[in-house]
Order: sequence, then structure tokens, then C-alpha cells
Amino acid sequence: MRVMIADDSVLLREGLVRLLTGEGMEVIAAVGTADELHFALARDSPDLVILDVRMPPTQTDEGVRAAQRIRREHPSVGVLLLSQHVEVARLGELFHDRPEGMGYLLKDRVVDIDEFVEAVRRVARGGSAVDPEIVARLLGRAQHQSQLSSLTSRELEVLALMAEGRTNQAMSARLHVGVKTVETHVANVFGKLGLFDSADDHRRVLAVLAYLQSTETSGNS
Amino acid sequence: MTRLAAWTLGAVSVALGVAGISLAVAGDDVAAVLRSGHADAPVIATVGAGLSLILLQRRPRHPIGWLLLANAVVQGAAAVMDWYAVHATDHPGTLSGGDIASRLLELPLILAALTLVLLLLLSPEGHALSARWRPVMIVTIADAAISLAASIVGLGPVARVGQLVMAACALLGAASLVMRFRSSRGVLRQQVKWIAFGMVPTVLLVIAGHVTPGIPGGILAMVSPISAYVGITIAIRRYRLFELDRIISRSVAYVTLSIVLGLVFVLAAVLFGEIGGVVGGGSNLVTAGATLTVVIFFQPLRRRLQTAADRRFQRRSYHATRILQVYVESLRDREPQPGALRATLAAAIGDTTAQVAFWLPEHGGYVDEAGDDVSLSDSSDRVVTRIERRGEELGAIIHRPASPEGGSDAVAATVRASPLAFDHGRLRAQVMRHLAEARASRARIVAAGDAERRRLERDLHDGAQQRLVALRLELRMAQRGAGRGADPVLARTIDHAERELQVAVDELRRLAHGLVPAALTDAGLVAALEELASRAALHVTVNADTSERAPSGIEVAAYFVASEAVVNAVKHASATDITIDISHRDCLFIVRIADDGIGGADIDAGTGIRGLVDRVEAHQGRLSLESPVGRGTIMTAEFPCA
Repeated sequence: MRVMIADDSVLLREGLVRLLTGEGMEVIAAVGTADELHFALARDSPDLVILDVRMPPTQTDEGVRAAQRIRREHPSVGVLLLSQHVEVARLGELFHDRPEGMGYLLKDRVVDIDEFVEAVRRVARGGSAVDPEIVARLLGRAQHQSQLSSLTSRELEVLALMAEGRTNQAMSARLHVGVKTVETHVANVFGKLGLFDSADDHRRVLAVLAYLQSTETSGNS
Repeated sequence: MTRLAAWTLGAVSVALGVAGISLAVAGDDVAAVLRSGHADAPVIATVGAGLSLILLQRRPRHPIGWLLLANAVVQGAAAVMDWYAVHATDHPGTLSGGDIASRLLELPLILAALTLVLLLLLSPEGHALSARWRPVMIVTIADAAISLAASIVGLGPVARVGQLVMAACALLGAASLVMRFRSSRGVLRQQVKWIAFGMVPTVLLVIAGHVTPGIPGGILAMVSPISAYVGITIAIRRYRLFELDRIISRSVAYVTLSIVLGLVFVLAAVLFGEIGGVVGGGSNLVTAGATLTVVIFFQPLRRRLQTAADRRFQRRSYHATRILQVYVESLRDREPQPGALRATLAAAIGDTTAQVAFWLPEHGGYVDEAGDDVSLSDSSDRVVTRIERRGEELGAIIHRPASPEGGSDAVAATVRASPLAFDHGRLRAQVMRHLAEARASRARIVAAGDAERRRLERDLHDGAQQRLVALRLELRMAQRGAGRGADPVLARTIDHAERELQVAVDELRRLAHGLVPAALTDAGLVAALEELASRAALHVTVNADTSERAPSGIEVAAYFVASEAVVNAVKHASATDITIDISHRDCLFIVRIADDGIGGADIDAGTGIRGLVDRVEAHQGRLSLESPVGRGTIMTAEFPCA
């Protein structure tokens, strides 16, 4: 698996390089700015790009803009954004209608090595990853929705994991239940929320995120 | 050609006039000439010629100039003929043809009367008031011709009828001048006023000359025409040069004052004379008493008469002075509204577009009533009139050029009457400016503080925090590298160190967040407040009707207001639910935080809120607190658009 990393913090960048190399991945570029990343992308094609949201020169949202450009110009490359803080507003424009190969994690998440590496592999394979804290934020804001309150706590857990972009297998491992049970929970969640279930995991993430975001907008009106 | 003719005629006229005077002075006939009733002729010949040349110099084709010149020439002829006739009569035998000279003396006088009547009919424009007045002119000229013929032939009765007709025409001429004045506007009105102003002394002097017998009467008659000629000349040439209304007003006031004081003196003298007769104080008492009485009456009388005269003759400037007086008096009772002084001065000078500019020496420039900078640019359609007090500049009025119809009088009166009001306005403008400067400086201080907070936050975020995250990652990797069979003590130590690091990162994040939340800088107020809501210990709802970003200073102020309100709601109000509303419409950015707590909060309590008020006001905003006991607390910050 070939990875490119863009982060202006040298220490963290080097840490990531060693971590991913140790996991058997090949880091073909580790740079400090979005421009250098675009330059590297023009010469080589990785499976995944990991990049920081805040990078020089303005230290605001270089990473987000670079991510959008990469997804436009290199649709086959997975993009994993690392953010310093939770920023729900940006979620919609990042995942848009194509959650495949898109990840958005908090920077602190890299410390949970197993979780992080799992998310890296998932996004590189074309899956999605949304930070649990961001999902928690979305759920928190959607709390007042009656449809959500009809969900059992286990079903809410399943909903959160789906929003994070996890597959049924991953959920079954995490919740220590069988895949069949997970499938039942998923079906119940979709039924209660009035969403169409999709066999496609990617579509499922999108549906759940869209649902949570729509409740957010209706709550703000 | 015209000039040459004018100069020649003028020279002839002056020569005749000088000759007339010299001949009279040279002989012992001065008294006789003065007594003859035609003493004014040589004066008119010289002075009138001079003035008419001044007119013709500027307006060579102006009929009035030529009429004046003609009048001067015939008067000059009359002067010489007059001396000749008188000398021949008084000294029989020295000169021949004295009787013919006496008889022909009528001729220049008829012509002089003709020119005078025409002057009345044509002044100051040089044409008749209307077509209806033409017949009067024709009758006048025809009458003069018939009179001339009758005089030469010696038909006494015809000549006498001619005189009567001429007198009637003169009255009509005067009437025409009055009508001209009534129907006139602007420049013309000023001109007619000058002519009339010159006529008044002439008429008075002529009457005085007739009443006074002998030589003094002759002298009075002699000087009488001068003022009328000066009036006509000024009317046509230099009417803008003088404040006629002011001169008239002053003249009327002082003439009336003299008459009244004279009467008072006489009355007082009679009264004190009676008293003196009783007490026996003599004439000294009478003089002293009468003088004292006059002195006592002088000032108040003068003021009253001047005001009355101003009101009648100087309406524009009287009006201007009154407006300013009323304004200054109003200052005693209440603070003026913003712009009141400008409006007052505009009304006084009669120009609604007038602006005021105050000179602020320490600022080194001009400012308006609100304390904003004003530049004094003198252009063709704007005039700058300075206002001074004892040579010290107070400022200026910028206005349209004054209208000829008393406009400059109004401006002059305004300039005279406004220093007090102007000084007051200047002090207010100075205070406004200082206030604006203080506001701007406060805004700069707050902005500088915010920038510093952002820089610190950025340094913490991008520096220390990133390093610590990297360190945590290192430790985790070391832990994994050690594997499951590793030394349990080492594994525990690494675990402990990693957890401590996490605490450090969290503390650092909180610290950085307290400076200026990164989300506020990066993603805006709504995002930052949502983050605040997610971390709060109670339920916080954020509603926004806008996703537009406000200026960063306003966003920071609004964020701190909301965050302080949330902290207070948790700490002091025992609230369970908070709603934050953000609205941005009609050029007003409003953040409103409402809780369901116990209420009773006080905006003056605590330094936290004081600091917020400073922050909000630094952006011209307003912070308000509604906190009825038991009914929750609503804190509102409103910011106007920049």
C-alpha cells in the first residue's frame, strides 16, 4: 500500500512515516505543504493521501482545499484529513455525494494506533472514516429528533459506528456480536429512521451522514 | 470715438463749472450768485461731469452717463451765464447784453430740468420702465422744446405753463422710480436703493436751502446735488462695494436719534430752567441737567432705534442676527441637537446647503459638528467665510456665493453674531472628536489584544500541541514495539507517561481555546459556538439565520459574550437550557443568549461583564442584560455594520 503524507509538523510527520512503514505500508512522499503534495501527486499515484487541515501559508484550511482538489483530479486516490478540532460544518462539502475513499479524523486519533491504522486501510480501500467525536457531535445535535429517540441504545451505537464508516464485520468485532445480529440492528435503524437500506457500505455512510446533517439544518431553521 | 466725445464734453463742462466758480470768487459777486438760487450750477458742472465720466469710462453706451454729462454741460453753461447776468446787472456798463444773458439763462435751466426728468425716468437701467412710460418721455421732450422756443421768443405765459408741465413730468419720473423699486429684484433693487439713498439728502438740502434765507441757503443748495449724483454713480458702477442696507440703517438710526435727543435736551432744559428758577441754580444747572438727561437716554435710545431701523432697512441681516440670538439663548436651557448649529447658520445666511467647519488647532485641521474631518475647498460655487474672535480663527462657514439681494449683508451679520455660538459648537465638536479618537483607540487596543491571542493560540496549537501529539504517538509505538511479552513495569511506565501526556494536551487545548478558539478563527462564529455548545455542561441550542462571517473583531466579541453567558448560566443561574440566537439583518449583527435560570443578574456586577462591555463597545456595539428574578436571563450584544 502506497501512502503520501502532508503535515507541516515535522515531528508528527516522521512519527506517522515510521508508524505506517512499521505497518508494512510504503510512504512514497512526506511533505510539509499542499503545493509539495500536488507536485508529488503529479509524478506518482498513491493509494492514499494523509493530510493536515491547517498548513502553511495561511494555516487555515489549506488541507481541506487540497483534499477537494485531489478528489476531483485523482478520484482513485483515498484522502484522509487530519483536523485539530471538530468542525462539523465542513463535513458536508467533503463527503458531498461521494463518501468513497474519504476520511476525516481528529489528529489525536493517531495515538489510538490500531483504530487509526484500521481507518487508514479502510479509506485506502475506498471506504470512509468519520471521527467518532464528530459523529457524537452530530448525534448530540440530532437528539431532539423523535425518530432518534425511538432507537434503542444498541441501535444508537450501531448508527454511530455506521456514521464512522465501519463495515458490518468491523461492527460485529467491536460490539462482540455476530454479523447477523449487526445486520438486524442496521435494518432496524434504517426502518425507524425511514431510510432505505443499501447493501453498499459507502451509500450507507452517506445516507446516515445526510440524515444527521439534515436534522441539524432543520434544527437551525 | 464715443470716449473722445465724452471726454471733450466732460472737459467743456468742467471748464464752464470752474469758470463759473472762479468768476464768482474773483469778483465780489459770490454773495449775489449764492443768493441767485442757481448756486448749484457750477458744482454740478464739475462734480457731475467727473462722475458721469467715471460711469462712461466703464459703460460708454449707458444713457444715464450721457444724461448726467449733458446735465453737467448745461449746468456749466448756466453757471457762466448766471455770473454774466448778475455781474452785468450789478455793475451796469461793465458788460453788454446783461438783459439778454438773463433772458437766455432760462435755456440751460430748461435743458437741465429735461435731463433731470429723463434721469428719473430712465435710471438706473437706461430704458423706460415699460412702454406705458414712453409717452411721458415724449411729453417731457416736447415740453422742453416748446419752453425753449417760448423763452427765446419771450412768450412768458407759455414758458410758465411749460414749467408746470415739466414739474408734473418730474413727479411722474419720481413715481416711475418708486414703481421700478417695487417691481425690482436683486441687483436692480440694490441700484434703485442707491439712487433713492442719494436723492434723500439732495431733497432735504434743497428744502433746507429754500427755507434758509441768504448765503447759507445758497451754500446748502450748492452742495445738494452731489449726494444724488454719487448715489446714481454708485448704483451703476459699484453697488456691490458697500453694505448699503447697513449704511441706510445706521443713517436713519442716527438722524432719528439726533432729533429725539435734541427734543429731549430742549425739554430737559426747559424743565431744569423752571427748577432753576425756583431753586436759583442758574444756567449751569440747566446745562448740566439737560446734558445728563441726554446722556442717560443716549444708550438705550440708540439701541432701540438701531434695532427698529435694522428691522426696517436691514431685514436680511436683522433676521440673521435674531436667528443667532435665539439659538444662543436656547443653549442656556438645553443641549443643542446634532446639526442644530449648522441648520441655524444655514437659516441665518439663507443657504440651506451651508456647512460648518470648526478649526481645531491641536488637530491641525477642520472638523464638522460630529468631529469628522472637513476640507475647505474654495470653488466657484462654494465660498468659505471665516469666523474669528479677536483674530483667533474659530472656523468657517462654507456656503453658496451670497445672493446680491442682501445676501452678503446676511453673511456679514452672521459672521458678526456667530462667534459665541461657533465657539460653543467648536467645543462640542472637539469633545466628539476626542470621543471618536478614544473609541478608535479602544478598538485598536482590543484588536491588538485579539491578534496577540490568536498568535499565542496558533503557536500553542501548531507548536507545543503538535509536538505532544507526536510524542504520544512515539510512546504508543514504543509500547507496541515492546510487544506483549515485554517487561510489565516498562509497559506500565509507558502507559502512565502516555496518559499524562494526554492530560497535558487537553490542558494545553483548553488554554489555547480560552485565548481565541481555533474554530472561531478558521470556521467562524457559528462553528465556534457549536463547539462551545458541545462542550457545555448543559443543553445549548445554537440558532443562526446567517452563515455569513462578521468582521473578526465582532465575531470574537460575540463569542466571548456567549461564552461568558453560558458560564454564568451554569455557575450562578442554575439553568438547564440555553438558546443562542445569531441574526444578521438590516445592517445589525445580533447575538442573543437566553437561559431558563433564576435571573436577577446585574450588568454592573463583576469584572467579567465589564470587560465584555468594553469589548462590545470597542466595535460601536451595545451589550444589554435582561434578568428579571425567577424568569431567566437574556444577554444581547448588538453590533452595527461598519
